Amino acid sequence: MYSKLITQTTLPWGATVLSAAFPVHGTVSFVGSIAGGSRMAGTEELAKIHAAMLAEGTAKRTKKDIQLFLDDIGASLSFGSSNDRLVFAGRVSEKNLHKLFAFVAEALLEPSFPARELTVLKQREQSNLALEAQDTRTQASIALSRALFSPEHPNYAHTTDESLAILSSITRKTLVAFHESILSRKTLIVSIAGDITLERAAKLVDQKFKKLPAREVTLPEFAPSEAAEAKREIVALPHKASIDYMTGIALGITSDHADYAALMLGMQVLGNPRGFTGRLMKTVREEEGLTYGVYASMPGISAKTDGYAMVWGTFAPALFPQGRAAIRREIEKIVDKGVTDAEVKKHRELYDAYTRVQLADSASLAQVGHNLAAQGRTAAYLDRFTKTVLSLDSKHIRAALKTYLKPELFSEAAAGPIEKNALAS
Amino acid sequence: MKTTPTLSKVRTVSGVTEYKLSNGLRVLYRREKAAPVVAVCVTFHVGSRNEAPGHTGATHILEHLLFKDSKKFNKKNKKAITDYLEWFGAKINASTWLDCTNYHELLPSEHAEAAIELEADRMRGSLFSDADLASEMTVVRNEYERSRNNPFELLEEEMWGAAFTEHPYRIPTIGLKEDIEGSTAKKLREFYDQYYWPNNATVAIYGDISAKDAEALVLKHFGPIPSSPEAIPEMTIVEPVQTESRAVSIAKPFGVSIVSLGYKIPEATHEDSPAVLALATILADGFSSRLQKKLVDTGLATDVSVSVPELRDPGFMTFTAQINEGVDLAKALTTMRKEILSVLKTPPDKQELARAVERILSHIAYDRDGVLTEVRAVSEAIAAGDWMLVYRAEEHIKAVRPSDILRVAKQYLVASGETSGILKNIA
Repeated sequence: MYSKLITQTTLPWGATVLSAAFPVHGTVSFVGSIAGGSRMAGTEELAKIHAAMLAEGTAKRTKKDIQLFLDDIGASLSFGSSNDRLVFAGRVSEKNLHKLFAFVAEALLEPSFPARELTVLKQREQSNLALEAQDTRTQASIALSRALFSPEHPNYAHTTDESLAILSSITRKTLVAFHESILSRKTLIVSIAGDITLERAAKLVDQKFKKLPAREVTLPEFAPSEAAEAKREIVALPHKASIDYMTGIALGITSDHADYAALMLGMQVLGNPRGFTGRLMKTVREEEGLTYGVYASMPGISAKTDGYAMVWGTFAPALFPQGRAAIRREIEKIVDKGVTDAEVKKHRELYDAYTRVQLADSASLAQVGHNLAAQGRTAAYLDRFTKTVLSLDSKHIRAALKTYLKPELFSEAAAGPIEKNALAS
Repeated sequence: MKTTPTLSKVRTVSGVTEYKLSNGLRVLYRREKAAPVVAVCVTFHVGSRNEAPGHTGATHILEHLLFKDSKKFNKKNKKAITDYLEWFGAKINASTWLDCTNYHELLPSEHAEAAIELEADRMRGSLFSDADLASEMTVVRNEYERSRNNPFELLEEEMWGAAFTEHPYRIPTIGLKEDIEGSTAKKLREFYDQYYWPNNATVAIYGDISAKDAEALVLKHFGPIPSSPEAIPEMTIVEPVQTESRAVSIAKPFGVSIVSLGYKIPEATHEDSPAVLALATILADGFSSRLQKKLVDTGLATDVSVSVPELRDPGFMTFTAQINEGVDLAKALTTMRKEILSVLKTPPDKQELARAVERILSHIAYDRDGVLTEVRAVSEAIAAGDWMLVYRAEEHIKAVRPSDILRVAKQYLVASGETSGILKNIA
């Protein structure tokens, strides 16, 4: 059914174009990208600043000109970056889409990277990093990712101090060199949803982006990370009111692996991050009253990148020892005893419902289409994967949980008003 | 004697069918097959405008309490309101403002009945208690503190408080602290019993559900609910005409300084409203707006914005600028006023108006991206007095001419209707 909703084609020169017809009164939402991102840049900071600078000026237009142009056509446009893509996204009336795409092509082909705007952007990012240094959840997340992955792995994060040092080293010259290294029409993906046909979408992409260079871009290789030893990391922020705690394990598999669906559904049973339907919220929050929020997830995983399984919880300092023990208990329990048939049935249906509710507006449809193509998939994958999830039983899930979640190898990280030895036992 | 409920078609406009249930409930239905989902939104025609002195904040607290147990959906029978719909993968939320309160869900279409049944049950069957109120007060207090800690919200609220002397719009929806603290389940129950009735509500059902099924579900679940035994109280206070300019001044260590100018505007259903929206857009919405050029591009401010709320009664639009450090705030305010009033001498030409209209048309379209977004927009229009405002907005804004802009500028940008605000950052 999803393969009927999101259709796609490949242009002779390499670009992938996706389209989802959705009635939005003459407007469209779109998400596009080329290979790039922090894996190509070497650091998240360079990838982020590079992307943001594309809207700051071109050889033909100043930042002000760009803002006025977007105003004139009633459009929104943003540039950003992911692990492995330079992304552009926005919305505009279908009649003005050609103008907006002409500008995106101009920003990619002729960015001016104005020095004044670079200084301002770097200052703004410094302020963001100063806030990040005091954010307990972010600091715990950084510490856990460093415990689980090597510096070469896409899921490894720099400390805030390292990020500040990298940021200050970014120059206009660095941006120009990075831009030249990634600019290629061969890796282009454009996903459009709204009042548009695939034929029209493909024609527009062909007209506006064909002139991009046809460079070969190869993402750097990295070795998958497997669970090795449990590490414990503390980030002391004594003046904060609460502790953010994360415990996780590297999985060593991508989302293309045969066990992924069962593991994903098992993690949903453990701590579905959407609301109160997971075990962790029922027990640690509702029954024991130890936290406001406690969830399980599998971050950093895609068709190309191996990710990790993680549980997060936030605790008042006095309740932290009990909260940590409760989380560890629930992980051990689900690995040891597995899940019930009733839980599997409910969570299978819930997964299916989420997918449908998620695809109920043009912006989400454009995003999902783009993400599928970025992972080398088509919408048929959504149909297949949903079918796989709906066929899972408690045995599949128990086997996957046992294989990948080894409680003794879970690393831990905590940030906030916490003693140095709080994770010792 | 019990009578069988009936549902009568009233009209169909822009693909939306309006019905009236025999108990007075208005029903709006639109078939949309683009996604296999249904959005359900119940709008109660009660907002903070209906709160009596001493009971401010009641509408908002009641909104929170309607997520507690109801007769059919409660923790005892393991069908707690939030859990119940979450198991269907639903997106659930609610909101309260000056003129209305709404509760809405988006969920897979085959579960539409779950949302309709739940909304019907809590319309008259909510079981909230003092214990529920006590547990929810932490969240409500936190919301209150956050609004007082936000410099923009604080200045805006103080300006509305000065601009209105009689009408309840002078009190923010969150309420006054002493009233919030003085809330009891008994008082809130009285408020619930006055306003939460089918003849004071509209339910919108949009999505992949047939008219026949939607009609049957409405009759089954909302049909048995009786109309209110007494007439729903009307709020009849009329704000006296403002005859002199007013000013608000705040000095607090917020880290930012702000100046703002507000003017009285007509109710949303007034024929001048589209032109007022276009005027506000020309002046302060977007990078090409006049205040952006005068205040931001010259280095006086870092940002400008405008708020044009669409309300049931005559309201208040505000132009706001975050002022750069070291800039004299009184001078910034004077510059802002001068630029706003310059529209009287230099009205927009066709091109400037066309640019503003293009922006507004984009917003109108984005407000209808997906059935959940659309029913929420419809709920706002219901609050403002006419659900069809959503579907006529495009036609109305396209009809605005440069001469209309000059006319409404003369009518509403008057010194005697002005309220100014300055929030000065102190160390």
